[in-house]
Amino acid sequence: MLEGAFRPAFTLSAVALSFAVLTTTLEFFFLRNEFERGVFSWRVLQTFSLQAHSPLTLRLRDAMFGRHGMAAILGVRLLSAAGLCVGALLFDRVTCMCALAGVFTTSLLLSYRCRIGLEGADIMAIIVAAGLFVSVVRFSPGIWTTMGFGFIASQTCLSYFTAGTAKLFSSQWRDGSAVYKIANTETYGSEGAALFFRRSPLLSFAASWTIILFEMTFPLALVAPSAVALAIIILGIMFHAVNAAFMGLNGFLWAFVATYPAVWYCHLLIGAFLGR
Amino acid sequence: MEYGVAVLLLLWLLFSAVNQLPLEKITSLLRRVDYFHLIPRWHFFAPKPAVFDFHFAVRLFASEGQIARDWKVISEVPRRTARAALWNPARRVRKLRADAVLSLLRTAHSLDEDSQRLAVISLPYLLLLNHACDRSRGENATLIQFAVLTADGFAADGAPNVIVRSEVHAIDA
Repeated sequence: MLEGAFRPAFTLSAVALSFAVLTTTLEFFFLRNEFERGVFSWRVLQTFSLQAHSPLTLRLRDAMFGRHGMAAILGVRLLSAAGLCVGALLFDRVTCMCALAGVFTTSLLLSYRCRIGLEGADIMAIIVAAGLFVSVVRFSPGIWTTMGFGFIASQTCLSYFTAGTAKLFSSQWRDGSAVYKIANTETYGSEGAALFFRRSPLLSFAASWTIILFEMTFPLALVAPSAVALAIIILGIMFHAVNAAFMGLNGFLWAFVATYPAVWYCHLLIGAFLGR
Repeated sequence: MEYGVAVLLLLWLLFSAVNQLPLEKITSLLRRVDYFHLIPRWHFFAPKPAVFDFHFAVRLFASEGQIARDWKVISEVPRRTARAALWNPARRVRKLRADAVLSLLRTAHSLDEDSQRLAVISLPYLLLLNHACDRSRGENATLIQFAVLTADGFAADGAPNVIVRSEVHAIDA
């Protein structure tokens, strides 16, 4: 069963990751003026550790993260994303490994350069790239696949469980006001959604608890019966699609959906281990 | 080789798990050494959800004491369209601005009263100042001041709150 599950799981995950990387890279290209002299300016961001480096390292950093260096990093990232998509669809191991190495390395460089203002989806993309790289060292189910997919699935479960638990400790989430208050912000909400939840506090309460329960119970997807696991995964896709559509959190959609094939693969692996 | 990779991934997972716990000393140490943002903190909108908007205002001076342009908000949030579900680069700028403000407040909070002025050489302050200068490019002014305000959003009950007011700085040419 796992023999047949590995290939579609890897392909789906890699294609979703390539979409995530493609989107963020094009968004960074679009913000090139912000990177040159605006809010992401390297001239300012480099000050966080000027004293910790030798003059040679500083020059190297300037070359790497200045205008041309950034264009090169984003160019490699774009090629890696496209290569990953093609490699995954053709199931070509070498192409996939090169592309994943490109995604991983450029992600680290962007993380180092930006320091501030990155989001959870960026870190999740790094985790998926690392996990997929490990899983594809051998192109058949085995220890490498288990390690790679197991790592991605563990981080995904940790992310949902932590987010749900943190919400459980918040009085604003428990009393249901958080959903209305978030919907009421111009940054993450909309006038229509704010009005809807203000008029229906009961729905705001229900939405709060649905999110808390969904996030806290997500790890059950690993051990629950397959129908339940599938329902949790479908709920997850809907959750991120709604967040992208109504909150503008588009980066999370592809980055988190890219982890679900690994969750499903680990569900099957645990099922096989338990003799289910 | 399998064992080496397994140990690396387990350590990564272990540090990630520890970073979720309310252990301020350990998590701040992890943040300090995590140059590549490899250790996540998965606390989306919790325990304190984002319940207000940050607005960024700038005032320009022709010379000391002579206002060239009074306070003007430069961070209007454009109405989000359906396209934002797939393409939303503006959120990156808003996220950085919000993170910089929160980081600046944390920095100021960690300094004692006599050292408060040191906040002006912190990274978040410099980022916000640079952002203000960049957005005011081409204006006929020599000095600049920025402020950060919080507002409740669509159903705002009160006036916006000023939470940061910068010093007056020379505009970078």
